[in-house]
Amino acid sequence: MIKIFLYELRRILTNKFFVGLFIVTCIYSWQTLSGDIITGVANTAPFSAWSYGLYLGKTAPLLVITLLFFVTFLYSRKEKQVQSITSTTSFSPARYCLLRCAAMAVGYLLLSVAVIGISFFFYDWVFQFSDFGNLLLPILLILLPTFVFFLGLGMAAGRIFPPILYGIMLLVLIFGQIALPPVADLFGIQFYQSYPLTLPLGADGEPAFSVPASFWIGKILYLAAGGLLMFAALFKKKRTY
Amino acid sequence: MSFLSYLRVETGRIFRSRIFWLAAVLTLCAPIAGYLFYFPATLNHESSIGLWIANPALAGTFGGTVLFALLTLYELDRVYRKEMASLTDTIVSTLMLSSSRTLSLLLAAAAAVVCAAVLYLPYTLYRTGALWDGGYYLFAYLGLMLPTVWSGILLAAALYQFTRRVELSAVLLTALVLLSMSQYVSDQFLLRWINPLVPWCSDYFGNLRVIQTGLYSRLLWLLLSASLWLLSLPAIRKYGYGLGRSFLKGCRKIYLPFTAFVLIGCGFGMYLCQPFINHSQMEYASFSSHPMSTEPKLTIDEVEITCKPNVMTGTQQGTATYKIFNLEKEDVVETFIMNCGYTIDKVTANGETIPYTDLNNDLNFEKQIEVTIPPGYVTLVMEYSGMPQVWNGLRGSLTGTVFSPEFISLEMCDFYPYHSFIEHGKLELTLPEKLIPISNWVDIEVNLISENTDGTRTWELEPPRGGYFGNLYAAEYIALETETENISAVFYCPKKQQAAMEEVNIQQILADVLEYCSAHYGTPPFAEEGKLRLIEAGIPAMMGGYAVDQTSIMSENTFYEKIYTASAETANSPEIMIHEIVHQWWGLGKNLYDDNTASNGWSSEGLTTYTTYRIIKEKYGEEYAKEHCVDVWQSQADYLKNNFYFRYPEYLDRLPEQYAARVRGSVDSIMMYSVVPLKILKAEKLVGGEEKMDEILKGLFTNQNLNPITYADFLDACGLTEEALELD
Ligand SMILES: [Zn+2]
Repeated sequence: MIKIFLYELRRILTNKFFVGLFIVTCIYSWQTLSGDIITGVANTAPFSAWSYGLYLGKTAPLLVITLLFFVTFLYSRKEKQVQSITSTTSFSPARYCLLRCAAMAVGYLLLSVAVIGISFFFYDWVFQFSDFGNLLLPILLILLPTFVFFLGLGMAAGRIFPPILYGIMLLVLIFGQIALPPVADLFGIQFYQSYPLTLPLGADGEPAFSVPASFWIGKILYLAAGGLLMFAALFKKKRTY
Repeated sequence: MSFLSYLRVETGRIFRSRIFWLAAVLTLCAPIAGYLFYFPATLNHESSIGLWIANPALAGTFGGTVLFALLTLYELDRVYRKEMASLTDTIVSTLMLSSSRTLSLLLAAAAAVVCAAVLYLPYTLYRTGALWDGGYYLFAYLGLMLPTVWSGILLAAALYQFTRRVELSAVLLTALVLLSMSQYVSDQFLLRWINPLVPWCSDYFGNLRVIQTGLYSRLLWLLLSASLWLLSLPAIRKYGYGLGRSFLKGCRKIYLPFTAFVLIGCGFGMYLCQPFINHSQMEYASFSSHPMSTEPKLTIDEVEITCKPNVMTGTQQGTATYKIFNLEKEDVVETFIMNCGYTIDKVTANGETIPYTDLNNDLNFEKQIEVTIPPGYVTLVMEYSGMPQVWNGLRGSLTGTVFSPEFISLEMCDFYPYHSFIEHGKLELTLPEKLIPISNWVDIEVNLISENTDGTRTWELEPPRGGYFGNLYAAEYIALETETENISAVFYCPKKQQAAMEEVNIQQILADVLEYCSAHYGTPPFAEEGKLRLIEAGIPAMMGGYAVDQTSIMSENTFYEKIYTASAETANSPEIMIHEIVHQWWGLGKNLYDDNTASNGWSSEGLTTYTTYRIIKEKYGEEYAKEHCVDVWQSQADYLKNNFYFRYPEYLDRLPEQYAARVRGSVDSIMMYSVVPLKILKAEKLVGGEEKMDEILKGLFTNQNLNPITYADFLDACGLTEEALELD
């Protein structure tokens, strides 16, 4: 099983497309840091959890697009042929699919690590800032729900009609530009820019990092929706094979 | 089967494909982004044309290009996979198939773009109203959007035919898109293939240069993408061969690579020989680096220039006739300077053709021309022609000398071969009949000498001495005159703007401000005999403003200055008008500046904003002034106080310079427009009221000292300390 997992992982990571998107994401991350983030978001420090949340929110669409491309591999015609070969092995298609999701998760994680690593390097280089502990919460708040929601959505869409996946990618790009209420603001782009302005300032002149219930609820809803969609996609698959 | 029948089949197939309709509908939606959040054309000047035509069209350009490039990848991949099964294609039919397929996509894209242009027409007509510009609308959709979408399709098809991989082609395309959008090429109109450079849109003075550079860059990218596409045709895999072997086999059709290389050659030629931007260094060089001889070896008694602009092409044809006396007994090589865009066609001395050298050493706006002048009295005639070029340092803003149907600006002396020894000059200028020339020099006479039969009029201009004509602006100007007790003013604004100006009652505002400021501070030194000329210049010539005696020139973009008064969000509002006229006193009459301006925000804007507030208070009442001025300043100042870099300035020093400059820019404008006015307001309370403050300001204004008023001067005059004015 480990062997198949490693095989899948290698297929994802050595894909030309992943390499290309990886480079693009790195460049974009650097541009975002040196463009929007360096001025500080909502008057907070450029290395505050608020600014960091916006940074992740701005780079998240690229992560999501990479993830969705991973999903398109699942449903491409060539892949179906490979599947018919691998399905002769002893375990069920659903289990096999789960294994590939795990490989995708590792790919997504690697890309996230790159995005985060670049930001840590940037903070250290420009601001000599290295107290990264308080940036963990914004990282968690964005990476996990985004991954689960779009993996589920992508798998469901891929099952119905794979070209929709490309449509979703486009929507993701547009999604990142529109002002949404906190419940729906998955990337938090609007939230991180406006919410801190409404908070009282602490002793250091910065609002402490805190997230309102509606934002939490939104994240949980996205997580739940993603989980359901994923389950549905996996379950339906079992029936067809 | 003939090519046409292939094309018919392919086009029919495209229009039946669901995914095409998806791409087309999304393309039709893309311009909405230009109304909501994508504002590339209104960064410097929020004109109606920019807001309602350029922004949506540019959003459509970007969105449509991405969508149709993706559609191309999808379609080619789908068809290719179908054909994989049958390896029966002959070379000819493969070529025919691929080209008819791409051509059908181009046709489909054209249909989508035309639909978008028709769809947004009624709303655009409604929003632009009297400022509607049909030519610009056509340019935006058919001149920018359509060719860009086409380039995207050709690029995508080429990449796919080379790589045969959808995802790899998509990544390469993304890289090309990011390159075009990156900051490294943001000021280079030729390299921005998917987001054309539109640094401004003018409502009143035409957009010729933006249109020309836009079309030129579109043509360049069409050529490049078409050549890449042609090159990719031989690369189409046949008989299951790999890339290299298919390509070599395909290239036996020699006309394919040949045409491709010719097109690439044309593209590079267009890149290298673009006629719009000169090749000067980007930093402004002081004049001494273009040396002109200081030891006179000759005198130039007179120059007579005829200037015949061709406003449709943006070029001019000129002749300069010099009366020269060469003091030496031999030939003298003299250097003239002129705009880098012109070429000398012919030089004659006393009727005989003589040699000259165009040094092509672009520096700032000019280059040098060396002419060998024979001894004695010489009548030197230089004939020259061409399109004035933008200085390389301004390539991102595309402003400068321009000849266009709506507006002509002759900047400085770069419209003819200039020499500093010229004693006396005369210019004959032939303009379209609706254009009226105005010089920024009040003592340059402008006379109409003839009305010609071809719809033009010829004007004669004569500066009192020298060959320096100042800056000349010609547009369909109207003169709005205002007279008050102490001062009279005439405001030259374009006829198209008259309605907007009358809506804010510009003459009344002018009168109010002139009355208020001359009563409170005195007449500006440049308004000799109490006369003031205001000229509105077009943004094609410049941004910002300046003053020379009796005349103050404002670019149309200054009427959009962000002055932080609540109702000033719309252009041409009374507040902005008042503010710009107050600048005749603070800024142009007396400059305010400080060595510490960067840190304390002390500039002409502060006192101008304060005076604007006082006038508003007098005109509209205390409550209105508080709500629209003081409260707005206060909220801006509060915002600044919370800003990270304002709280921890030490971090600003740690930033690499280019980032620090950006941060400072946003801090500076709040300091200038909000914090300093608040401090002046505080000073007003501390010195004992408005009347006291007016006395102090009058003292500062009438002071004979020519140096800028510093913050320390202001504090001294108030008898206050810096600490006393700190805001809490
Ligand atoms: Zn101003």
